[in-house]
Order: sequence, then structure tokens, then C-alpha cells
Amino acid sequence: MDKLMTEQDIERLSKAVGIQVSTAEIEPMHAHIRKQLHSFEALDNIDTNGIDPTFDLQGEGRFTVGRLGV
Amino acid sequence: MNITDLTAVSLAAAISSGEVTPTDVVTKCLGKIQGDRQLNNFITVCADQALKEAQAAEREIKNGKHTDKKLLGVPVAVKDNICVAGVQTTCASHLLYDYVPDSDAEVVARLKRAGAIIIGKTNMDEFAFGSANEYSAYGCVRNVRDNNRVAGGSSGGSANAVAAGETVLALGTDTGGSVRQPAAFCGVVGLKPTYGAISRQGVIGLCPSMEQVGMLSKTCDDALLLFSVASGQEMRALDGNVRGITIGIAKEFLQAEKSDGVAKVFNNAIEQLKALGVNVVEVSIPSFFAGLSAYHVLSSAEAVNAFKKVVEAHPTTALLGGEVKRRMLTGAVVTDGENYDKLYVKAAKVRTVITAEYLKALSGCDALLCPTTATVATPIGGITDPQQEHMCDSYLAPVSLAGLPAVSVPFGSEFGLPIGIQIIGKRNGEREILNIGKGLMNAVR
Repeated sequence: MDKLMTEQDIERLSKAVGIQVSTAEIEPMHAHIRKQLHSFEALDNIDTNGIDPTFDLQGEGRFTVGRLGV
Repeated sequence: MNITDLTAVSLAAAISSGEVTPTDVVTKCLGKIQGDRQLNNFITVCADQALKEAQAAEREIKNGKHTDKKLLGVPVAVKDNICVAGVQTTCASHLLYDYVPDSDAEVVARLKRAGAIIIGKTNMDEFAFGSANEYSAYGCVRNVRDNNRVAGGSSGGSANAVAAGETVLALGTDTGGSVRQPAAFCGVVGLKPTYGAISRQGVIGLCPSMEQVGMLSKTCDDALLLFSVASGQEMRALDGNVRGITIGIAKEFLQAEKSDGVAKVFNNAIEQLKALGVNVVEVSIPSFFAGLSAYHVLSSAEAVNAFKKVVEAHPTTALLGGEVKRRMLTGAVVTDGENYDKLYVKAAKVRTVITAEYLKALSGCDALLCPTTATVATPIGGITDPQQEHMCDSYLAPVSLAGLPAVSVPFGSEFGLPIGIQIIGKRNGEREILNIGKGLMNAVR
């Protein structure tokens, strides 16, 4: 997990997705996302070898989200 | 009779028989909304249109042309991310302040065909991101039970409007608990149907694999009525008889965090169900504690992906509130570079695992039972850490991952504030869980 996420990453990503973030918002946003990333470590406790990641949209097909920028 | 205290089922019957008129009902609801403005449940009140529709309903009744309309004259409030033709639909965001759709969402069209009267568009967390209805560009919603407490979110306005008697029924949307949680905080019934049971056409949603239109009402019978109309499914009436059914309690639900009051009420609910002749068995959902993380990774990834179109149409994203920006940036982070496989794909796989565990747990019982939330409604402004607010959804989000139906019913209280019990069912098991809910609610009357 990218624990070394920096404030520059926040600026880069906000531009990539078109979300305007003010200078004053960068630091608290960075702190929040780092806390989020820490909480996501709970996912590491689950064995997912051989598990299918796609979701069946109940008749609308299989669903997944692509990599950012791709 | 106090019209605004009536249930939808009894009101529909009273209207059909001529005991009350739709104009009386709408006028009373509008008066309630006006008198309770400090609750801030509505972004738009459709007063003129609602009164015109009430008069039209009265003409239909007079001409005898109404017999197949299950909701004729019954007021319904609609969460402000569900399109109603000709009425501004803001998603509680400055970004959409001037958006007026020219067509109804499919679910709204169905309600209108059944004779329902749309009384207004309810307040919510901006773009449905939030669990307290404090993240609205139109101000927070104040809980009718205690005006210094939140109503929950993101469908806070809808839940609170039903609790306050400003409407008889309301639509919300539930992605990770946004119907069930405010239902619990406001002391009403909140149903999240099976994923896919109700059309999402005309719903401005950002998490396509999880969000679902949901029902807010005073009773389980009313929730069934609204679900039946919204989904187009005919449903047998509830009888509240739960003797002989089996309820599963996951040991993880017992281990999970909850206040002393919620723990006590949950235990009371289990004992009450046993007294009603229900078999209670222990089950396990081993990955339960990873559910909230999986939900936040997946929902934020879907949201930032879906939000591209919103940004293209409305580039002044500086108007967005802080929580929307946090969720979007979280979505960008979890789908960026190496994080895509480490976080997004991992979370998607965890979702598959959790879904299988819920289905396995349900294979040995008729439904699962747990608290809806870990605490009662919190003070307005009381939670300043967004991460802490996310914990409100710990019992709720995993159910959304699995696409299962779940209902929160009011059962007990702590500090005078309502507590909800969540009943989780098998796919397409809406009637079954509502019947259990009715049995439970009857037990405390």
C-alpha cells in the first residue's frame, strides 16, 4: 500500500480527476487519505487467492472500474 | 383523526372511501412542513403542484376511476438525487443548483401512475456521500426526536420527514446504508431492496454496483406497499407471524463495536424473537470486519469514475463540499498506478468473498439479525473526523456489497433516541424480512 503518499500526489490526482482543491485543503485532505489507506489494511487479512474480482450487475453484465487515466 | 399520523395503508383506504380528501391530506402535510422548517427536511416543496394533483385525484375518485391506484392521494417525498420532471434536482450540491430534469425517474413515474402525490424533494448529503446529512449545501437536517442531533444520512431528509409526519412515505437511496441508517436514527422503517429490484433510471448515483432506491415509512406494511408499487411486484400482505422461522446471528455481529444501549436493545430483540417462537442460530461471516474497507475502496473508485461526466458538464468543482472531494480523491488514489491491483482489485475480490459468506450464512436460516448502527444519533457537529463518521456504516456496508435486501425497524431506545434493528434477507426476500420486522415491531406495541 502506498503509505508514502505525498501532498504532491494529492495535487496531481486532483488535477487528473478534475477536482479543484485549494491550497488550504491539500494538507487536511492528505492527512485524511493517509488515514483511509491505513484503515484499508484490513483487506490484507482476507485470503483472496483465485477469487474473481468482477461483480455481476444482476442482468446488466459484469462490472469493474478501470485504472485511473487508462 | 390526525391525518399526518396515519399510515399509508390506512390513508389510502380512507381516501378511497371518501373519509378524507387528498386536498386535506396534502394541506396538512404542507402545514407540517412549514411549521417544522427548522428540521430542514426539504430542499424543494412542491406545494402548488401537489395541491393540483390532489384536486385531480378527487375528480378521479368522484368519477369512480381510481380503484386500481394503490397510492391515490398519498403524499410521497423524494430524495433530491431522484429526478422528478420539472422540479429542480440538486443532489444537495451547489454544482447542480439549476438542474431541472425534464422527465421523471422510472420509480417516480411508477409512483405517479399509482396515484401518489410528490410532496417535495428531500435534503440529503451532497451526492449521497455522508452518514449524518451534515454535508448538504442546503444545511444540515435536524433530527425530529432531538433537534440538536443528526438525522443520519445520506437520506436524512426523507427519513426525518416521515418521522415528523410531514409525509407518509418517502424514497431514499441506499449505497452503503443511506436508507437504513437514517431510518434507525429517526425511528422509522427503512428498506434497502435487493440490488436490481428497482430501476435506477433517473437516479443521479455514482456507485452503480451498489446503490438502490429504498423506502422510508412508519410501518413494514407501508414499506411493502411502496416497494410493491416501485418494483411492480405484487406482494402478499404481511401477517407478522414469525413462529417456526430461523434467524441467524453472526458471531462477528456480537463482537462488533456498539454502545451499551444498542447492545441491550439488540439482546432484547433476540429474546423477543425467541419468545415469538423463532429459532435463533449462530452463524459466521469471517470477513465481516473487512467489509467497510472494501466498501470505501469500491464506492470511491466507482464514484470518481462516474463523476467524470458530472465534471465535464459542471467544471467548477470548487463548488463541491469537502466530503465529496475526499471521496473522489480517495477513488483516484485507490485506482492510481500500483494501488489499482493492491487496493481496488483486492477490495473487489474481498467483496466476492464476503458475498459468498453472507449467502452461506443465509443458507441455514431465513434471515440474519444485527443492530442497524453502533450508536444512536450523534450530536450535530459532534463528529469532526470523517473516518469516525464512516464507522456508522460498519453493519450496513457489507450487506450492500452482497446486494442483499435489508430493513431497519425501530426497536427500543437509548437516552430517548431510537435504535434500529437490521434484518438481512436472501435475494428477493423483501416480503420475508418485512414480515419479521412487523413481528418485531408488534411485540413492542
